[in-house]
Amino acid sequence: MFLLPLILGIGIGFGLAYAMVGFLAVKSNDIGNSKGDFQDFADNTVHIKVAENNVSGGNFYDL
Amino acid sequence: MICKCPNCGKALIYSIENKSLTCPSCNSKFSPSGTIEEELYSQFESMECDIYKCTTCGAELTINDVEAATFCGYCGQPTIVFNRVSSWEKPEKIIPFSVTRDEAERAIRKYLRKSIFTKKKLRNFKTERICGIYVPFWLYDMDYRSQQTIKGTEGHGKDARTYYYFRECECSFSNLTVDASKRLDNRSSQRLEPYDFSDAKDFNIGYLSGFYADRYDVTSEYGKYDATYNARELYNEEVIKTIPAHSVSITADSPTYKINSVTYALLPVWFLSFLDDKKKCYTIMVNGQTGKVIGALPYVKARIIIPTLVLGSLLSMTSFKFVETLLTGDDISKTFEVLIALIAAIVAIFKFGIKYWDKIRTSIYLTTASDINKYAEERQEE
Repeated sequence: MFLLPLILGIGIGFGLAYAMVGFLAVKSNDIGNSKGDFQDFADNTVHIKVAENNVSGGNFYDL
Repeated sequence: MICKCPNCGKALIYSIENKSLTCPSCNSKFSPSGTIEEELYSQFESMECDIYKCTTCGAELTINDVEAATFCGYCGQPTIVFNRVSSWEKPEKIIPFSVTRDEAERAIRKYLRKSIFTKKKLRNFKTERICGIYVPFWLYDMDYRSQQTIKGTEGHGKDARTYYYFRECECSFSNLTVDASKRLDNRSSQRLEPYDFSDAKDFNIGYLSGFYADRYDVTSEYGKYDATYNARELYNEEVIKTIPAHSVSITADSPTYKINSVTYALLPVWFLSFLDDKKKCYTIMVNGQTGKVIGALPYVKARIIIPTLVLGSLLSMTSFKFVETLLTGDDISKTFEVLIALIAAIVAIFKFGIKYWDKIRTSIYLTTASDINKYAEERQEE
């Protein structure tokens, strides 16, 4: 019971390091990495009718 | 095309600071709508321009003769030749440049100074060339409606339950931008968004004076596919926000849309190019209205590998101790569950990492001029 925790520990440790350095690299080197969002283009908010957990799709109500 | 000064006959330049056409010779100022050229062209649907063609990337741009076209505004290569006088379809709208050349360069330098993973020499780049281009865009106004079935999970672990949610929604989009130039990658042009269309003016040739301008080579008919795709993405993102669950996916979608109008517009973009030690060209863009900077610089590999190794080793030691305590127990079924959960966690962490690295690699690819050159090569081979 030594090898398995070691392999998993290395997996988690280097996985986290890889993701963290990647995140920092994006923050540091990648500028303006965003697009226009819904509010930039939509004239009005989405009018939504909702029916939750109802596969037949009936019983809609306004959100 | 050129707007000439009625007083001295010299070519006028559009001044961003004064928002007027200014004569560099006698310092006279004119409104862009009051020029002789505007009166001449206002009655026509098209206008005649001198076309400069880049033999490297195939771009066809127009520029007034205030400054000679010595390099291509898109790919930065000095392979531009005067081609012909051509008739251009007149755009309906234009957003004039609000950000000056100096402001654009300052904004880029400010951002690049923070790039800690980049060579210092590259961060303090020497500007090779900077030019303002009016890039052609199609603006779509459309109504969008859809009925969707969305699958999502509420709760975690043993309490996790899958639910199906129904949404029937409608909305109207206005000025949905799609770039109408093949030279500019859609992924780059989307990052220039958003533009504020309350500042859009009726097109007037006076605004082009002193800047490059490109004309559309993607038709509005073709661009509508990109427009509906973008509308669908924006719409889905907004609808998904209303789902009170995680691991959400759309399982059924029946969208309908109606395009109400299409407008041909020119939007302002600054292109700044510089070279690295190996003479590789980088082009950073700046939204000419809002000053938003778009681009990415390559990282020094050692500055990535060393922190990853150091951080990875430290985190591995901590994780090893943590995993060891989790896996010590007599209950084999519980240990097996923990093992599966840990493997799933590792896969999820690596997926996160890959997402970030993909993002920056794509941005660097878009920033280097080589993609434009590749595109040109493909075009030449056709």
